[in-house]
Amino acid sequence: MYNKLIPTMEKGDILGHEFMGEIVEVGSEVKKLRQGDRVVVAFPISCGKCFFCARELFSLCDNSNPNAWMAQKLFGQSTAGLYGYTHMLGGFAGGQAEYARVPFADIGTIKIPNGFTDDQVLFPSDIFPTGYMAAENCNIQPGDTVAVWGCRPVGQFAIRSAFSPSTVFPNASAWPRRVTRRQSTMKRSVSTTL
Amino acid sequence: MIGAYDRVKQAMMLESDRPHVFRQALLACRKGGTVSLAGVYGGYDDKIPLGAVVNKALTVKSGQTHVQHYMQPLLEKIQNEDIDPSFVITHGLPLEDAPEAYETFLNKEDGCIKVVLKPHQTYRKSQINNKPSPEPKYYERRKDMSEEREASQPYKCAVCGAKFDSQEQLQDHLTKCTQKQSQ
Repeated sequence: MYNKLIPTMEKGDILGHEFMGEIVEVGSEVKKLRQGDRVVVAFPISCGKCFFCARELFSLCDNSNPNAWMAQKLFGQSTAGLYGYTHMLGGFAGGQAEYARVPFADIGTIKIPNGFTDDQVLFPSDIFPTGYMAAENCNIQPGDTVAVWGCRPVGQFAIRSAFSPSTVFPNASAWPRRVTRRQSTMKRSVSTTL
Repeated sequence: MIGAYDRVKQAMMLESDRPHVFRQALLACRKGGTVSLAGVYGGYDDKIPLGAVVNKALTVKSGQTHVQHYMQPLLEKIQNEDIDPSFVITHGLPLEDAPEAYETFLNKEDGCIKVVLKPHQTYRKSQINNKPSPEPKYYERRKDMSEEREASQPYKCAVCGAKFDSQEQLQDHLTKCTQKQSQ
């Protein structure tokens, strides 16, 4: 979007699709949240009831993109609306602001318990699940070799997710750099230098 | 990495993404393997090696993330201290600094990996938790961390800028560095 490679951005659009905050007001249909709750917001806007949301394919929601005709021209079908992510995907104001409006808030937010800083819990909004889903999509088996292209934020979470397809993640102790990893269980290693 | 073909097409708005990485992944992937495409792509791209996909029997999986499906389990991993995602943050800045922050991130300056922006006057974390916030002001903490990194490797080669933990390591390096410079 910044380099105009994805179309339909306009001057004055508010960016930001990975955000969290304190709720200052709730709509009449919101049942699970109240004023004062600290929540992290998922970047796809999803109704929770359509064919795709019912199958937990939330980024494919049929009902959350008011500009569906634009996305349909480019993709064949529209997908979910996203915050701050072009007019083609809904024209929603994003989270790089002091306040944000969150549609379908019961579906698209998660409450944060006390005792955790913003830094620790912000990334389930986008990059942590994105890296995790990318790794999960590979159906990684023990002994497989995995290469990651692009080792900035999403890549870092993909790497950590790739090491643990089940429940335990290794502690992230290394400072983020281009990755060269070698493990005794792997038959050969792949270094990524991009 | 981006060849002349892609540069020309992008300049003329005839190509809407940067496909060179996807091409490389398809060619590098082991036959029978899977290429997981996290993205993000928005339009049409040229010269994708479909021959590699078909003849090596590759699986390509992709999609914008179904975040709501993952939020609860991944939050539980954070609560169980299996992972602390804050490791990825290198810059914490006021919201007002966003334009400069975008440039810093784009140009990969200052070791930038992830920028987090806060409208710090509106967020009242201490009131929500009913206790004082344990951390110093957001952007000052980031500055402290970079100063700690500087302090941990104080010996710096004046020729090439490499940093070391001890005087002995620096002396060893200087011998090789100056020899290399004079060649």
